Amino acid sequence: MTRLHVAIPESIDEALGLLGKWGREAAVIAGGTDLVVELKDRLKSPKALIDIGRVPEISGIRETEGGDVWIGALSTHAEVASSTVVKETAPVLADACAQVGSPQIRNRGTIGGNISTASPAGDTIPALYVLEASVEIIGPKGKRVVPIESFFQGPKKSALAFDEIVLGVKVPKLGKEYVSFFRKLGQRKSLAISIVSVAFAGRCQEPGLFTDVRIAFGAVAPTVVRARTVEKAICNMKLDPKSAQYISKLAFRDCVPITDVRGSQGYREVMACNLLYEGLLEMGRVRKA
Amino acid sequence: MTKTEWVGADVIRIDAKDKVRGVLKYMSDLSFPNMIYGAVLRSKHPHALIKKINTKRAKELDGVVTVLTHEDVPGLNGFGIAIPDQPVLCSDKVRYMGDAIALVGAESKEIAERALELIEVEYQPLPVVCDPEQAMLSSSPKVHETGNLHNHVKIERGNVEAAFKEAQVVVENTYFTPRQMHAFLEPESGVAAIDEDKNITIWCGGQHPYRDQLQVARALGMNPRKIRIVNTPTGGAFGGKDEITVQIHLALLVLHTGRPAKIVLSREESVIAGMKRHPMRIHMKTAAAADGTILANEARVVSDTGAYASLGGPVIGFAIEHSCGAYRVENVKLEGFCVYTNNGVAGAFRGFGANQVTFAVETQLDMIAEKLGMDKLEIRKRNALRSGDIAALGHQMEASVGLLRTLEAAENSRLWQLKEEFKAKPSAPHKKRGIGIACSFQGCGLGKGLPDYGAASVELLPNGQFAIGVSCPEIGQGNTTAFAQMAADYIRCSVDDIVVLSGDTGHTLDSGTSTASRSIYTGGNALKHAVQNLHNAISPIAAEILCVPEDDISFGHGKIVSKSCPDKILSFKDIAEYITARGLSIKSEGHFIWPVSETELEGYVGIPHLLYSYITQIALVEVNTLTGETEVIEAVSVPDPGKAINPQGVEGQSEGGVVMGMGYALTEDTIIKEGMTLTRNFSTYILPTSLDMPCKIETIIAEELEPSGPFGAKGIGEAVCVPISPAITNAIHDAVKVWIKQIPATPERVYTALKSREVS
Repeated sequence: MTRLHVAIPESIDEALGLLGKWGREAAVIAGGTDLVVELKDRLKSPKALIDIGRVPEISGIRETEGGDVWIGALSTHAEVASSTVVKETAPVLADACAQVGSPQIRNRGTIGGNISTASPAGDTIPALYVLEASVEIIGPKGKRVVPIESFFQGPKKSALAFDEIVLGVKVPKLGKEYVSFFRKLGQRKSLAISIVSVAFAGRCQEPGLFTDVRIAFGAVAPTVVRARTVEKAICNMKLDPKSAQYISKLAFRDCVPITDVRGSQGYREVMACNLLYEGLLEMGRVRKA
Repeated sequence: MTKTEWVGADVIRIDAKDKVRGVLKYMSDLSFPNMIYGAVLRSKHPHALIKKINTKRAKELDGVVTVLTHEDVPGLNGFGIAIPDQPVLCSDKVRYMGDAIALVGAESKEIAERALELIEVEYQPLPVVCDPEQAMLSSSPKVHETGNLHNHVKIERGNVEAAFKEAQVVVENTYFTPRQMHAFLEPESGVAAIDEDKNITIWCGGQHPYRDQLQVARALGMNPRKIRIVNTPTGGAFGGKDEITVQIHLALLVLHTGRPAKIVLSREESVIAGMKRHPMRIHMKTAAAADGTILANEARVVSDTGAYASLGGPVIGFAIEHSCGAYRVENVKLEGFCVYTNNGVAGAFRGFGANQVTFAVETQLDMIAEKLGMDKLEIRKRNALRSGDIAALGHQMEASVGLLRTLEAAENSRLWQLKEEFKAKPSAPHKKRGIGIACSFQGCGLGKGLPDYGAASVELLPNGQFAIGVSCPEIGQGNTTAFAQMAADYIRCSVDDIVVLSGDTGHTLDSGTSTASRSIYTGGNALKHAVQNLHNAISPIAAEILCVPEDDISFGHGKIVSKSCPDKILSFKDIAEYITARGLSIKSEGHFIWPVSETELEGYVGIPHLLYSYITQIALVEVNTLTGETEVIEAVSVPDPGKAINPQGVEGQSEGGVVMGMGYALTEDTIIKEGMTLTRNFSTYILPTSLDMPCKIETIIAEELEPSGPFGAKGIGEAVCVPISPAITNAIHDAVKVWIKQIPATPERVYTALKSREVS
């Protein structure tokens, strides 16, 4: 029988040392909500598991001296969703985390894992896109910081090298005048992988008028994508329910979905538009015409 | 009838405490010393010839105890309730991805799985038969040598063509229904052991221990008496464990190794290898007069039974029997085809063919009502079967008929009375609400031509309590509690003094299956006879003790009393002590055979039925017009179970049924493409979760007592999950004016229908 070695490092240096030793034969595990499924289905067959669950440097949620929020990679979806500082300064991320999987998955799965897995349907990622977060990575050559949009390279492909670990994400706070939302369309209300998801953040000083609009879609392209065409369009006009519907249709410009067991390409394209429109409508900042 | 003390009361389920506390041991929780673990090698192709099987490398692996193939099946290499066309272990051909080719027994589960990879099978792939319509063409490759049409049912009465001509309204549509999965929490699993005299005991969740025993005996070429089957408790079945699952494989492992064995299918293996509900394509043409009277119904139903027959034959018959709904229809032309393909296997599933056709006919009825400007409830009342009526197959409704009673109770429900208010308050302007109603009936028992028999036993225990035995397994439906309640009222003792033995060929007589909404009716009637015999055995003893004539003895409230001298009283414990002291015992049996319809349909078995349960269900939905999502907000379920032996149990069945029927209507489908299952786990097979449940399910029990039933009971396990599905799709139409002709009505399907309506 093949043996699987399990190592439980107590520091980031020890973790990196183990990664260096095992190289590509190792898999890093935290909550395991993605990896264990892959192991079971034999999509991955590592010789060693490096359980980073006890590494102190990558846990906790705190405000940085620079005024950002730092979220350690080990923070679970449940922790992020209930964090006071996240709810106050990046509510879109708290909302997204609250809609991941089920209570059990939210109690196990981590934000670092959601990022490292790099699924285009990962629910925290569109929120991190519109927050313009950055990913802190550590490896044998030291620390580096990658803007969230540059981190993802394709389905399950990211800028993370095999000998690196995600330390955490740095999230700039949204100002008081910003409004935001996260919505996902799933096949059911819980334990659902997104057919389409959308995150929105925009500065709104008076109803219907937005500046600095950021919109990101999940599950409609090889990676999560910013919908820059719509973003620009929304900044240039006054939003009422009618114009919101019209503008939302521009979402298709940045979406190149595929057909899979959850939904067809055509449905996903339309849903990207409609989910954005529904979000804008229900946000309450779109002035009635 | 004398007043009952226990029947009709919400007696707490006798297994509730152990289940809630997690104490109850299901079969896969059992282990024995020296036990081996079994694993099954499944096919790599949906349709192929087997050229060679080489198990040498697997046998050489350390820790492997045995590797078995078709050569190691001592008896008939086949199983199947109707015909044994499914191989225990395939020898020359595979017909679906779940086909078993080899069986490994090893010291651990991991070693057994590793050994599977070392078995070499040489295949010659054949073209995959995946469309049941094309499968019927003579040009199609054959799944079985006998041809792909397994069963054909054709019933004609009256003159449909004339009726279509004179009708005010004719609607004609094609409907598609999905391959729903039973999704029991406990996958197919069990343990087995063999003793020195080669007696085999198999503990395995199932629905008919005595038929399991026969099927195992046939495959092993053994005397059935050498095989004991224990089916209770079963962790959910819904029809999916009616057929053999792992029993024969367990028996082969213990027979060849002499060691105890355990097999637990993974969820993925269960999805690929296990039974499903038959997907059906239903073409239906229905005519009605201006007053809403249904004049004619024509249906052509094509059912995909997959690779093997199991109960596919009876299911298509049952579908045809129920294809006109619980309504009077004088002119019918009904035709059903049960077809072999390489799409998994389909078999018994709660509703047994009624679900598919009820979806079609209840949608047809709403279309007719709309065209005539009729109320949806009124049109059902107008056509509802009444006692003495002639039903679609030409048979008379001889037993109790409760449809009107359920319709009237549904009409008086809060949801129906206030329906306009409920609809007027959607949660957002782009969401629309609608209310839908649907009815159905459900044949109880095995039906004409399949002698339906059951027995029960009652024994006075030395402590004055009673052991009752009914072999219909407890599959979660609560029948053991109902048996205890009925026995207590027949015996005239406390329900706490009843010990129930269930689902065990070693300790219970053959009571038949826990299927076909039959176990309460059968078990209750058999118990009634058993208790009469018990009383007859106790009376002379009581008379002897009390020094009174035997006909002076009466039974009441846990006591045995002299009628002429009421202070002469004995307890059952007194009797037990008296006979125990004399080395005697009292154990009696009761036997019951079902009454059947007088109508005989030549050439068909299992149809028609004599007895039916009836039901009306209502759904309130909210449809999101931007996404197509449908949410069921509230539901009302009005079953006629005959007498509700345990009303809380009926409510439990009703609520579970509503959610199962909701999953069928909205999300559930096992998708198979080119013979390959795409939805292999609960991440892609979309069961409703607790958050998807309606906020409220109101159950109103409308009892139409059945004179031949125990205390007036019929059965209700199946009907509760049937009309809710078209009630939901009819509600979607009420909300957004699109007819759903294919379920599940996924958001994408509903949205697509909405858009095509806008275009057209």
